[in-house]
Amino acid sequence: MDESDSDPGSYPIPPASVHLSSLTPPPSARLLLSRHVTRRTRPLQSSPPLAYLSLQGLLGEASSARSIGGGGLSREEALAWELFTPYQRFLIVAVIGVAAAESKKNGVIAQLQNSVDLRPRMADEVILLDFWPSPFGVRARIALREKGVEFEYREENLREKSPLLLQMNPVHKKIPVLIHNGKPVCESMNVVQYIDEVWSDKNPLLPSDPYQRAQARFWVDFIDTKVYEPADKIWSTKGEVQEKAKKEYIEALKILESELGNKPYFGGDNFGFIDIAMTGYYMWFEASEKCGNFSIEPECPTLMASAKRCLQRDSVVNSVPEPEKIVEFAFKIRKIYCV
Amino acid sequence: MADEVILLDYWASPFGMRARIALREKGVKFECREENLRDKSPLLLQMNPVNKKIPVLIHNGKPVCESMNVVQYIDEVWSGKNSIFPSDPYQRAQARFWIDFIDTKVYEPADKIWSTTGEVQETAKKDFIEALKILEAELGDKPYFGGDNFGFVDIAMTGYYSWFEPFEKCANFSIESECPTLMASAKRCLQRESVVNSIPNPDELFALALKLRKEYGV
Repeated sequence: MDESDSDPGSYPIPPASVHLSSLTPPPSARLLLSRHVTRRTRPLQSSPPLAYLSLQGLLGEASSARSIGGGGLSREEALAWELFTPYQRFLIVAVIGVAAAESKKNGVIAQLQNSVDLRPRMADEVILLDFWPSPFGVRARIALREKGVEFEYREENLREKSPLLLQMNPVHKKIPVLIHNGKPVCESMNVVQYIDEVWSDKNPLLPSDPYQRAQARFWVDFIDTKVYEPADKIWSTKGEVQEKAKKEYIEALKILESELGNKPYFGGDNFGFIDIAMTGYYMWFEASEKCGNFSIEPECPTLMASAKRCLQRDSVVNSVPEPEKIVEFAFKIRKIYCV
Repeated sequence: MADEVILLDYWASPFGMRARIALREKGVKFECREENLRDKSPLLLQMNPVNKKIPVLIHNGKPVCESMNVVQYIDEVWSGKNSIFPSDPYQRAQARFWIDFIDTKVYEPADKIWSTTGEVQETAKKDFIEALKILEAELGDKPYFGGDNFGFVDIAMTGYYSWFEPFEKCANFSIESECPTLMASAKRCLQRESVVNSIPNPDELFALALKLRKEYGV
């Protein structure tokens, strides 16, 4: 199954549209100290008025006010400047200086913020190191497609792991590994949660309520212990060990079925975190039944109905291999393990 | 409205300690109810029917189970103070990755160190130290796994830090000589107020370990 074809579910990345030039303060900022400015033509007797003051006229003696900044002050401005005492001029200059620095700092901060905000709108490089029949890898594929994220799928040979895999997951050396702009995220449900947080604008996978989120995490932990351990034995053992595994597997599925209740998905009306976790096992249901010679549907009919619903979703259809291929793979592995 | 927060717990549990520490980091008032793990209360069985384990946080009557799940819930609900989890998605993914590592690669050998002898115990010691060294490399020269701040991964490890001394006595080895930087961070964590108020005396833990070893005929 070729995962790297362009996906009809993906959307084009919009162009960067932030104009940074609007954030650059103009070279000669005219700072208005007050909205109420009266241009005067004669000296005042009362306390000095607030006035327009050009930054070009920041410093200088009153007598040379007209010549400040290369003659930057107009006649009226020079006159206004002369109305202030030297101490008042000092204060004005200090206040304007601080305000200018603040404005420049805010301008720089805004520029930096925009450059950071710009990143998700720029083309992301998303690579998924994966293995086609993996129930864990498929979770990452589904999550990326749910979010419409364009990604490059790279198939790993698990008997000869690539240098990139060993470099990106040195601790476990396992797939899936999501490499997002060069940075690796490992462990399938960790990857799914990361995808949900980064591409948060579409199809939320986790609920927003803290209690519901805790419930979702609890059930995923249950799935990856109480379903995973017997499932693994069903595929890779026989005889009494396999019989015991089948029993534990069905027990775990029944617990999940009662949690599902009559909801279409574990996520309620929406396909979510727990459903994605289970879909990795749903795609292995047929192979499990054939390896273990049993039927899941009569034991867990409601769960099976939800499974079928999940397996029909676009993101899932485009991510899971055909069941026959998984069955074939399972039997090939069993033969290798002399089962 | 006053929150009702109950923690079903067991004094010696490294997992229970994590929940206690998180609640105290946030300054949340809670009622700690000690469970007898050999005679579990009806409330525990009702609130955690799937795993029947502690800790269980019962917040206004609703249960949250699994220790790091409880810690994350506490961080999200009482989000105003002492953030435990980073806000950046990549840092959060890293924190979750290391929690998963701790609760598999540290937990499994740790459990064998205090409860076995001979070759099984020797292998467990080796695996335990190997895992701690990987964590130490991740810690680097940061004071905490959370960087400058005590965070999610530190809380997870503190449950084990409290058991370091009993492990060393049970299996006759020294963790500090193998992992000095990790040990320095451990000491830093063990001195935090929320931790001091949440963990038992190492001598009491060692006494418990010896008692259980005797019972199991180890």
